[in-house]
Amino acid sequence: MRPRDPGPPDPGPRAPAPSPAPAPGPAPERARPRHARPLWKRLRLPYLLALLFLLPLAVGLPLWTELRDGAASGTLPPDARPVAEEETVELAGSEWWVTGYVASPGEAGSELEGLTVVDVGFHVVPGDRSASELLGRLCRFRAVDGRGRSWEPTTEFSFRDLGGLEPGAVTSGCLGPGFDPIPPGTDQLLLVTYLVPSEAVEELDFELTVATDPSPDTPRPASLVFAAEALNG
Amino acid sequence: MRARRRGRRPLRLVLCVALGGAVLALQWLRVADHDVLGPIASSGDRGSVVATDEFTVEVTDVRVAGTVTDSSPLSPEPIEANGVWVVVWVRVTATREPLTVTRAELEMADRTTYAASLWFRDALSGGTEFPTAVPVRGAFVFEVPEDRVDRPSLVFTHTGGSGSRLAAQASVDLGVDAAAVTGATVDVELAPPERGRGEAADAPP
Repeated sequence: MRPRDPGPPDPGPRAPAPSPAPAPGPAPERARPRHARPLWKRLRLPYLLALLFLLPLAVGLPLWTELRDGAASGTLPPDARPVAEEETVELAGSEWWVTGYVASPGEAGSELEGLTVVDVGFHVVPGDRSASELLGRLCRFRAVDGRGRSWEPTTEFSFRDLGGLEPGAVTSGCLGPGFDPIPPGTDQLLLVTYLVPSEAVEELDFELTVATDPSPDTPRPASLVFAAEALNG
Repeated sequence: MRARRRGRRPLRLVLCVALGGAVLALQWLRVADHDVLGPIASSGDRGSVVATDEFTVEVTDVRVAGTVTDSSPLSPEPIEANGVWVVVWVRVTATREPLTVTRAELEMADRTTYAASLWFRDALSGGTEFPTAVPVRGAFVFEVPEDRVDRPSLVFTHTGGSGSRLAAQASVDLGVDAAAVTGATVDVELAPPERGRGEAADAPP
């Protein structure tokens, strides 16, 4: 195609106009083909269609990559999958279940009056060596209530006498009692302790977030939220 | 046809210049980054509960002191200020999630700010944790040149989580005038921060 090809949009009479001063006679006729052009051409429909297609793409594609990267790095918290009481679920190659929680209300007159110490018993069985490594990489706990409030685990009571229980370490990743990776196939108890206002205890669910990807930059965290029942009165 | 096109040329030039001018002029409407992502501030007065999206704060008492004493057994002697100590007792309650990193500043009428002092073990600091729905009572201590204390406000910001972008911030007018400052020689004894007792029902609205 030549660069100045008049092409189909410029019909007949206009294109070849070699004389600089056209005769005055046919001037009104020349205006007619312009108005006679089809509607889709006058509305520039191809451009409109291109815009309709490209605009959502230009907005949607960066949004999609942001969401994907945020989910991979963990800056966007994953949606937690709910788990019913006494249900066992598999996540990132490990089996998880919650036995329940023990609530110990603070004594009246003590520093903990109005507050309750909640101990949640998690059990984890890593399926293989890579699952066990994932547990050591990222393993976070949180207590949530129905009103959008959340609590982080506390280490304030970690020196209590636990009566022979040997819970694993949960402060940085989920590890065995000696801060070594949990051996595959071992049922490891993890005791997570929260200090919450007594009125919130009944509504609590217990959230768990672990890495599902061994790469340190993109842990691709996934979450479960466990319903649990009180083990004491 | 050609003649008509040539006749439009000055009009196009004018339009072009006008649009260019409009583009430059509308830059004036641009909002600075710190206004777009800066803290979301609430304000109030001493004695009232100032609520933000993430916490509530109430200033219960303010003292201007010459010396401050920690209750800690390691350093029981009164510590003198280079200027004066402004001790601000507050009651802070996180409403949604625990506050782990916070910033407390004393802001004067001329917008000069002073960071909270790290001298005292009993004082609250940026690393004090405020658990959700559990009121914490304690004091922030500021060291300020005597002649710079001018209608100070406590500015308390939750900077944790996503940095200080769109952080929740409360600004509380302390109602202190210059007369209260001159010759401040009182000693203030600090007590360790207390967690609320039974008054934990500060639920979000």
